[in-house]
Amino acid sequence: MVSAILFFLSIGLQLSAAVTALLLIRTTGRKVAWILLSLAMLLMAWRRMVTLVALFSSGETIPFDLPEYIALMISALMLLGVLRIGAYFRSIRMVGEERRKTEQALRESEIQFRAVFESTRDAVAVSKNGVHVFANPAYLKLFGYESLDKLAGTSILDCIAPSCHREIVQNIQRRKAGEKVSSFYETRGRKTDGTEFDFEINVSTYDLHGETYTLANVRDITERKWTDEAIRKSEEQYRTLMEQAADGIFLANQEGRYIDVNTSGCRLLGYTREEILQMTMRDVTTLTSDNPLRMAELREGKSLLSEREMIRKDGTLVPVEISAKMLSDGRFQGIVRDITERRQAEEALTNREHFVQRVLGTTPNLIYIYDLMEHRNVYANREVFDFLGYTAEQVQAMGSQLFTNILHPDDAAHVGQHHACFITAGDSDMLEVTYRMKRSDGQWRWLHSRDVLFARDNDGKPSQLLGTTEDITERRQAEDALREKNAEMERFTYTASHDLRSPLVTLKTFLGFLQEDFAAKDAERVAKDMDFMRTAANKMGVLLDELLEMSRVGRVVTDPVRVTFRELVDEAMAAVAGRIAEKKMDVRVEEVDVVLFGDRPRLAEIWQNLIENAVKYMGDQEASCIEVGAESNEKETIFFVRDNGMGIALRYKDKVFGLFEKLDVKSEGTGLGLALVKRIVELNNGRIWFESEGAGKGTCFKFTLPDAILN
Amino acid sequence: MHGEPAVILLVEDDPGHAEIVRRNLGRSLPATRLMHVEDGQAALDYLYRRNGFGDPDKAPRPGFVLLDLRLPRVDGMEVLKTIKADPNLAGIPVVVLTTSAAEKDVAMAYECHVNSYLVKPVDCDQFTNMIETLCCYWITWNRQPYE
Repeated sequence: MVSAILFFLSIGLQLSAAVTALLLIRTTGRKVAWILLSLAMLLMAWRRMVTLVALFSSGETIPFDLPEYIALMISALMLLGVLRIGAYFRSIRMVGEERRKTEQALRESEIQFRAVFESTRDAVAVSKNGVHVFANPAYLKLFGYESLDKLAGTSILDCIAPSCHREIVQNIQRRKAGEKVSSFYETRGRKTDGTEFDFEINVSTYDLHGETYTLANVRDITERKWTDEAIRKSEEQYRTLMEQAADGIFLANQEGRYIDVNTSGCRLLGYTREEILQMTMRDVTTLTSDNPLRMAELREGKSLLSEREMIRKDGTLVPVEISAKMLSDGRFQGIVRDITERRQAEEALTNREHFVQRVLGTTPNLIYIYDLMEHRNVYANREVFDFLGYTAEQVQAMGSQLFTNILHPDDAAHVGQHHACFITAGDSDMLEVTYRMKRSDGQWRWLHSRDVLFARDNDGKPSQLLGTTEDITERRQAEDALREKNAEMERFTYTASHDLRSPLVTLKTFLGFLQEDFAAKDAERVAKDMDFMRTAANKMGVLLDELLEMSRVGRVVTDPVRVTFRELVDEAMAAVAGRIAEKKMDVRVEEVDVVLFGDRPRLAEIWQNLIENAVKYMGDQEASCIEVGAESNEKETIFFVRDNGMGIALRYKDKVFGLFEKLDVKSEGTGLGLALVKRIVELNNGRIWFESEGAGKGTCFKFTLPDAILN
Repeated sequence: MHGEPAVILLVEDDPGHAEIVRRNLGRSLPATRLMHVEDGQAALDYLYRRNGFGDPDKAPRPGFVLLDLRLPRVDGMEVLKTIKADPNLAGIPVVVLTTSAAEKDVAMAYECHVNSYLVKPVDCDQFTNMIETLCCYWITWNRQPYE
C-alpha cells in the first residue's frame, strides 16, 4: 500500500512541477524553456501513471524500491528546483520592478527638487571638501556668477569675505572633527565684484557614495540688518526721549502689565523701575465707573486724553493727565503728566473767580462798566433796575425814556457833564458825581457814583468807564439829622446859658441891694431881698437839674425791662399823689392791656410829666378830672392823658414843647417838662401832640411809642 | 397921642428883674409911674387898651416901653414887631432890656426897628447905673413927640 501511495506521490510531484513550470511562464516570461520542461515532466508523469495503471490492472504489487525512491526524490527535487527557479525569477522580476519604481520616484523627486532648487529665491549650494559642486540660480545671482560652470570647482571661501575666512575654516574643521558646530549662523559674504554683504547661512551635510557633501542655504540679510539697525536706532532714540521726558512714560502689554517705564514715571509714583514692572495698570490707577481704562478704544487705534488719579507708593493720590495710545506693536503707551500744580492753579483761579463773583454779588453797591459810546452799561453786577426796585416789565414799559424818567431833572445836566469830563481824563483819575434817581416806590434816592477810566479804543480815546454806585440816601438823611441835632444842641446850649444868666442877674443885683438894706438896717427889705435871692438860686438849681435830665435822656442809663402800662401809670401817679390829693382831683385810669419794653424810669417820666401838667394847669374847675388811657387801631397804639382844665390855644401848639417855654408865668416848673417828654417820645420813635378846643376847654395830650411796645 | 413922660411900660416876666428895675427907678426918678406886665400878650392888651386894660387911668400910654425878649405867651420880638407895625403905636420908643447878648437877637431887634438894645448887667451897681442913665436919657433928655 505504502508503495502505491509513494507512487502516486511521485506522480503528483511531477505533475506539480509541470504545472508550476507552466505557471512560471507567466512570471518569468520565458516560454520555450518552461514548456519543454513542463512537457518533460508531463511525459515522465504520464509514463509513471501508465506504469501504475498497468501494475494495478495486472495486479502486481507496485514495487517501490531503490529506483522508485530515487525516482521519487528526483521528482521532489525537480519540483523544488522548479519552484526555486520560479522564485528566483520572481524575485529578479520584483527587484526589477522595484528598481523601476525607485527610479521613477527618484526621477520624480529629482524633478521636484530641481524645480525647488532652481526656482527658490533662497540661495542654495552644495559643496564637497570646501569646493562648490553645484548651486541654484539664486545662489549664482547672489554671488554674481554668470553660470554654474563659473562656480563649480571654486572654493567656498571665495564667497566669504576675507575677514571671516578664519571663522569659516575653523567651523569646517571642527565639523569634520565631529564637534558640535552651529549650523545656523551669520557671516559676511563676498560677491564676484568684490562687494561684501551680510548673510545668514544654514548648513547641513549628507553623505553620498561615501563622500560628505555640504548643503548650504544662504540668505542675504543686508536689508534685514538695515531694518534691524533702523529699529535699534529708533528704539535708542525712543529710549533717549523716554528718559529725557519730564512726563512719565509707561509702556504696558496687552494685559495691562507694565513692561517699561522711564525715570520720570518712577519718580512720579515713587516706585523703582523694578517695582513698576511687577505691576499692572490697575494697580496704580484709580478707576471709577465714569472713567474706565477704555482699552478697547485704544485697541481700535484711538489716542485718548484723560484725567485721573494715580496711586503713589506712599498711598497718596496724584492727579494726572494721561495721553494714551496703542503702539504699532500692540504695546500700550501712556504719557503721564503730573497736574497737581495745574489743578491747584485751576482751583485758585476758580476760588478767585468765585470770590469775585461773591463780592460782586453780595455788595449792595452797583458795580458796572459803562460804555461812553453806546451810553449804556455793558456789564453790571446786578441790574440797575433791581437796585432801584423796578421789575423787568416796568423797565420795558418805560422804554427809551427810562433814564429821562428816573433821573432827577435837576441832575441831568451835571451827570452829562461828568461823562464828558472823561474825554480828557487820565488813566488813574477818579471822578465822582452825586445825583438823584427815582426808586420804584416813587421815592427819590440819592446816589453817589465813582468812576474811573476802564478802556480806551484803538485811537486812545476813552471808551469805557468802571464805576460803582452807592445809595447814600440814608447817609444823607443821617447827615441831615446830625446837622439838625447839632443845631438843636446849639439852640439848647444857647437857651440854657441864657436862661441861667437870668437868675444870676437877680442874685447878684439883690446881693447889692441886700448890702444897702442891711446897712440901712431895713429888716423888712432885707427879708424881701433874701426872698428874691432864694427864689433865684432855687430856680438855677432846678434849671440845672432839668438840664442834666435833658442831656441824660439821650443816653440809656438803665437796662431795658418789661413793664406794663398799668405799672407805669401807677408809678407816675405815685409821684404826683400829693398834688392830686391836695387838689382833690379825680384821676381815671383805663384798663389797657399793653406791655412796654424799654428804659423804665424814662417811660415813667412821660406819664409823670403829663399828669403833673394836667394837675398844674387844671385851673379852678369844680369837677376836675384827668383820664389816662390808650386807643389801639391796626396801625398803632395811641396813649392819651386828658384833662378838663385850662386848655391850650392851638396857636401855641409848637411852643408848648419848646425848651423853657412856659405859657403861664405864674405856674410852677421851669418849662422843661414837655420838652423832656417830647424828647423821650421821639427817642422811642413816636410822636406827641395835643388836642384842645381852646382856653377853658380842657386838653388831651396824645402820643405813640412804637419802639417800646411789645406785642 | 402924646404919652405922659413919666409912664414907663415894663414888660418883664421875672419878678426879681422887675423888682430890680422898680427899685432903681424909684431911686432915680421917683415920680415915674412904672406899669409892669408879665408877658407879651398882656403888653399888647395894655397898649391896645383891651382885656382889662380899658381904663386909660389904669393904663396910661407909656412914654417908652422897656421890653424883655423872652416872654411867655407872646414873645418879646413879636410885641416889638406889632408895636412898630402899628402906626398908632410905632411912635412909642421901645428899649429892649434882656439877658441875651446874642448877635442875632440884636440884629433881629434892629430889623424890627427897636429904638435901643440893652443887656442886663450882672452887677448891682452897673444895673443901677444903667437904669439911672436910661431914665435920665429917655425921660429927662429925650423929647417925646407931641400929639
